[in-house]
Amino acid sequence: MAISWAGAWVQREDVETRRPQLEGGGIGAPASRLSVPRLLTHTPASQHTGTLAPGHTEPFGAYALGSFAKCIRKDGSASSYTPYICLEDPCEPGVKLGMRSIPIATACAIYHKFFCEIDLDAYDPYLVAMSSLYLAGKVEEQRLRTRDIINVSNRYFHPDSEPLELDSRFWELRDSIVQCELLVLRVLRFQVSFQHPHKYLLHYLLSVKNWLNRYSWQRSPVSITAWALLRDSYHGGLCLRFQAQHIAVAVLHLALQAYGVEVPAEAEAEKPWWQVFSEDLTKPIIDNIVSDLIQIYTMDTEIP
Amino acid sequence: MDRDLMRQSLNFHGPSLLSLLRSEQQDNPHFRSLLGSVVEPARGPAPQQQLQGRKEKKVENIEIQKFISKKADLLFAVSWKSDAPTTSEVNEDDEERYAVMPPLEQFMEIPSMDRRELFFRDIERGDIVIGRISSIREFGFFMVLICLGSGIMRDISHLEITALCPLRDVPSLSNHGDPLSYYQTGDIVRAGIKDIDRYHEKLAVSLYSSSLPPHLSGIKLGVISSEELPLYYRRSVELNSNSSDSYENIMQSSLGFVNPGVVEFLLGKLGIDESNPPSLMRGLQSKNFSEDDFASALRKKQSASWALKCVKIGVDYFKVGRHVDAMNEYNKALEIDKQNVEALVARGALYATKGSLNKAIEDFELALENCPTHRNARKYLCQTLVERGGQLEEEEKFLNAESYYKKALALDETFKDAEDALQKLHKYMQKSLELREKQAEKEEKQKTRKIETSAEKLRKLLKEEKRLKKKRRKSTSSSSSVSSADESVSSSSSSSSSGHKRHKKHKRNRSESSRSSKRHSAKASSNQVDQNKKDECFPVPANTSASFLNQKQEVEKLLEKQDRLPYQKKQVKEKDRCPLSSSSVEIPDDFGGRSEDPRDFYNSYKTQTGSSKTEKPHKSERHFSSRRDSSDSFYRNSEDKIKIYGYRRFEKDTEGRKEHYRRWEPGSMRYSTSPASSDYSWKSVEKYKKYTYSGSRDFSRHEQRYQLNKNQGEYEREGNYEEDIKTEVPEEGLSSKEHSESGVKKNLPQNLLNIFNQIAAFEKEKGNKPKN
Repeated sequence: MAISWAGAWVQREDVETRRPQLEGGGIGAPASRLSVPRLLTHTPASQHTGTLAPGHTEPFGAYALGSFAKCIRKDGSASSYTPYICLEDPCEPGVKLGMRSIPIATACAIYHKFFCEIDLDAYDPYLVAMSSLYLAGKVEEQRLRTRDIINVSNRYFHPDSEPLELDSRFWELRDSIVQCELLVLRVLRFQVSFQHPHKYLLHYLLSVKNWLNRYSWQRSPVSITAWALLRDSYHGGLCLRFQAQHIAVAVLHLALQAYGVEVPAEAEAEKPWWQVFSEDLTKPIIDNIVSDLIQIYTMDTEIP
Repeated sequence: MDRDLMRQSLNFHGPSLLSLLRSEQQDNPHFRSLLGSVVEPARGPAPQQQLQGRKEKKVENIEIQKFISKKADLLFAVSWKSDAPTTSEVNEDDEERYAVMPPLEQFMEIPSMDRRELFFRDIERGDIVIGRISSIREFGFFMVLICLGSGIMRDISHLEITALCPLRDVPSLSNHGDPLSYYQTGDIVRAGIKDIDRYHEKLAVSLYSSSLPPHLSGIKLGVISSEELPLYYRRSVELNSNSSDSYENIMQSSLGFVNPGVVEFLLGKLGIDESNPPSLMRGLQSKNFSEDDFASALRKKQSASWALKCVKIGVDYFKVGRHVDAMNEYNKALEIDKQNVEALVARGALYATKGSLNKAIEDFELALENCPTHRNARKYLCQTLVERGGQLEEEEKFLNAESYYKKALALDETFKDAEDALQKLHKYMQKSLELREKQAEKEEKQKTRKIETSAEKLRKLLKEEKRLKKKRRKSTSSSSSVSSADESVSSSSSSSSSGHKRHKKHKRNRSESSRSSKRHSAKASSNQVDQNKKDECFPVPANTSASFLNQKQEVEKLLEKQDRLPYQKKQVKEKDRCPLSSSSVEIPDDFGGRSEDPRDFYNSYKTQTGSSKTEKPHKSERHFSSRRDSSDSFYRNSEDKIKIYGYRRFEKDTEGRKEHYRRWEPGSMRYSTSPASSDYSWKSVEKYKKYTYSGSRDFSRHEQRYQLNKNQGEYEREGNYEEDIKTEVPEEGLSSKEHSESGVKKNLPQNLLNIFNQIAAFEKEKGNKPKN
C-alpha cells in the first residue's frame, strides 16, 4: 500500500546510466551512483545503502510514477523537461503542510531548478519534491518535519488510506528524503536562496492602490488575484527564467486586465506604470511572462 | 457572481470577451443567466465607443481574454474578495515595516492638471490632510495642502490646493480670546476633510477629531512639527530634489524592504489571507482540500494510531501483571498523543487498581472530556468515583463522599452502586441526626434520676476499686513512687499482655477493666475469661456504646500507667504501633465520653483501622468524666442490658461495674464480628455528625495526649507523668481539676488518693451533668 521512495531511489539508481554527472562532483564524490550517501557519511557502501536495499524488492511506486508519467505525456513531452511538468510539484503538499507562500515558492524554485540541471528521468520527481519542501522549510525558516511531509504525500498518493505506521519502512522513506535533500543541495551547488517576486508585488500593489480610486480598488479584487497568479506561477519554472520584478509586474498587469482596471491618467503619463516599477522592463517581456503564466493554467484544465 | 465586476471587465475588453465567455462558461448556470443580462448594456453605444478607443489593445489581449473567460467563474466569484483592510494607518511610519514609497504618479510624471482632477475625484470626507497655513482671516484660516495623512497617499504638494478651516471648526485652546490667535501663518496643520465641493474644487477642513472616521479618531489634529509629516511625503520631497532616483532604488534602499516580516505585514494590509491561500488552479482550490489531508490532521491521526499501539502493548503487560511496564507504555502513548482517550482510560484503570483513585479519576475525566461518549471511561469513572466516595466516607468526609456519589450518578443515572451508596449515606446521616435528638431528650429525662442513683453506685464502685488496687499493689513490684492507680493498672495490663495473641480485643477488655482494679485482676488472671467474652456474640444495643467508649477512655489512663512500668514491654510495643491508627480513632472516643451513641462509630472505626491498639492511647484525664458518662449510660440501660446480656463475669463487682463491663463487651464483640463494611456507612454518618459539633478541639487534645503516651511508651522516666498531666491540664477544660488533684494526691497515701479522686470526680460529675 505504501509507496516506496526508498524503492524508487534504488530503482532510479539502476536505470541511471544516462544520468549526467553531477557538476558539483568536485566536492569529492566520484561519478558514483551512490554519491549522496557517500557524501553524507564518507563511507562507501554505508548503512544507508543497506537500509535502502530492501525497498528494491517492492514494486517501485508504480502509481506515483504512472500518474507522473501521465502528467507529462499529456503535455506531449514525456522525455524532456518542460516548465510545465506537472501540477504535482511542491505546491499542493506545501499548502497542506501549512507553509507560507515564500517557503512554497522556494520549494518550487528548488524543484524546478533541480530538474533544470538533471534529466527528469534520473530521479523520482516526487522524492525530489518532498526533499525540496524539506529543504525550503529550512531555507525560509519555516521548519517542517519529515513525518508531516511523508504523511501528506502518502495521503496524496493514496487519498483514502490511513497514515503510515511508524515502522522501519517509514524510517526508510524518511532517510531517502533526507538523502535526496543532500543530493538536491549538491546539484544546486548549495545555492538555494532565491529572490522571489512576492515582496515586489506587494509593494507595487500598495503603490497602485494609492493611485487608484479607492472604490474601484475595493470593487476589484486585484490584490488577491495577483497573489493567486503569483503563487500559481510557481507550478512552472517562470521564477527561474524571469526577474522577480518582472514577474511581479506581469502578474499585476494580468490582474488589472482581468478586471478591466485602468491605471488613471496612464495615457498622459511620461512613463507607463510598469516601467516605473522596473526600469529595464519592456512590454514584450510582460507579454511573454503573461503568456507563460496563462500557459501554466492550460495544464490545470487538461489534467482532470 | 459579481455582476458589476464582470460588467467592468466586459466594458474594458469588449464583445470579444463576451463571446469567449459565452463559449467557455456555457455550462455554468450562473453565467448563462448573468450573461443574458450583461448582453444588453454591452451592446449599447458606450461600450462601442470604448471598443474603438482601444482597438489596438484588444488585439494583443486575446490571450488574456481567453484566460479571463476560462477562469471567469473563479475571478468573478463573490467569495473572491480580499478582506477590506480595517487596520488603521495610525503610526505606521514610526517603524517602517515596509518600504514606504513616494507616490506612483510622481514617478510616472503625470501632469499637474490630471493629478488635481484625480485628487478632487478621489478625496473623501474624513480623510486627513496636512497643509501649511497661508492666511488667517476673521472667519477662519486658509491652508495650502502639502500631503495626505490617510486614505490615498498622493503627491499634492505642487497642486496649490487650498482648504478653508472655518472659525467654528477651530477649537479654542483657552477660555478666552480668539482661537485663531493660536495659529500663525506658515504653521503646519493636520486637519480632517469636512466638506468637498468637487465642482468648484473647494475644500473645508476641521480641527475637531469628530470629523474623522472612528478608526482614525485617535489622531491628534492641529499644529504638527515637520518631523511628524508622513514618511511618504518626506520620501517624495527627497525624490523631487533628486529626480533621477528610480522606484526600485528607493525601494531597495529602504529598511522596510528587508524586513523579514514584510510579506506577512503587507498581506495583512492588503487583506490577503495566507492561511487560506488563493489560487486560480482548479485543482488547488483550497476550499476543495479535505481537512483530513492537511499535515496536522494526518499527524494527529498517525499519532493516535501509534499511541493506540502503545496502549495495546501496555494492556498486554497489564494483563500479565507487569504494571510498571504497562504504565510506561501508557505514558509513552500519552506522550505521543496527549489526548489519547484509550491511553487515558487504560492508565486510569491502572491507577485505580493501584489504589490511586484520585489520579484515576483525573485520567477518566480527561478522557471523557476528549470523548464524552466513551463508554468504558464513563463506566470506570463511575466505579472509581463510588470507590473514592467510600474511601472518603471512611475518612469521615461525608460531604465529599456525597459529592462523589452524586458525580457518579450525574454521569450515569442508572449506576446502581452509586445510588445505593448515596442512599445509604443519606440514611445514615439522617439516622444519626435522629439519634442525636433522641439522646438529647434522654439526657434531659435522666438528669434528675441519675443524680441520686449514680452517686450511690459510684460509691460502691469506688470501694471496690480501692480494694482491688490495694491487692494489685501488693502483687506487683511496681515502684512506690507510682500512684496506686498506676500500679493496679500496670499489673492488670502486664497480666493481660501475657496473652499476646488476643491483644486486639484483649486490650480493649483490659482497658475497660482498668476502670476497676477488680476487673483487671479478673481479666489478668485468665485469658480465658476474655476469650469467653469475645466468643459471646451479643446483639448490639445502641446505647451500650456510650459506656463502651468511656471505657476506652479509661484505657488511655491505663496505658499511661503501663508505660511507666519497665516490664511492660509488649504493651509498649503495641503502643508504639498505635500511631498508625492514631488520631482519627480517638475522636469517636471523645465523643463517646460526651455524646450518645459512639459505639457504632467506634465499631466502624475499628473495622477501618483494623487495630485495637488504637484504644490504648488515651490518657486518664478523661477518666472521671468518662466514668461519669458510663454511669449515666449505665443507668439508662442497665435494666435491659442486664437482662439481655446476662453474662456476668465478676460477681464481686458492683452492679454498676458489672453493667459497665457488660456493656462494653457487646461493643467489642461487635467489633470482632462485624464485617468490614456491612453497615458502617450509616454508622459513620453519625460519627460524622458528632464530629461536626464536637469540633476539632477534642481532636487535637486527644492527639496531644496521645503524643504524651507515646513518650511514656518509651518508658524513659516516671517523672514524665507529672509533666504530662500538667501539660494536659490547660487542654482539658473539663477535667483539669481532676488532674491537678491527682497530681497533688500523688504524695498522699494511694488509697486515700484514689478515694479522693473519685469522690471529687463524682461531685464534679454531678455538677457537670446538666451540661451533658
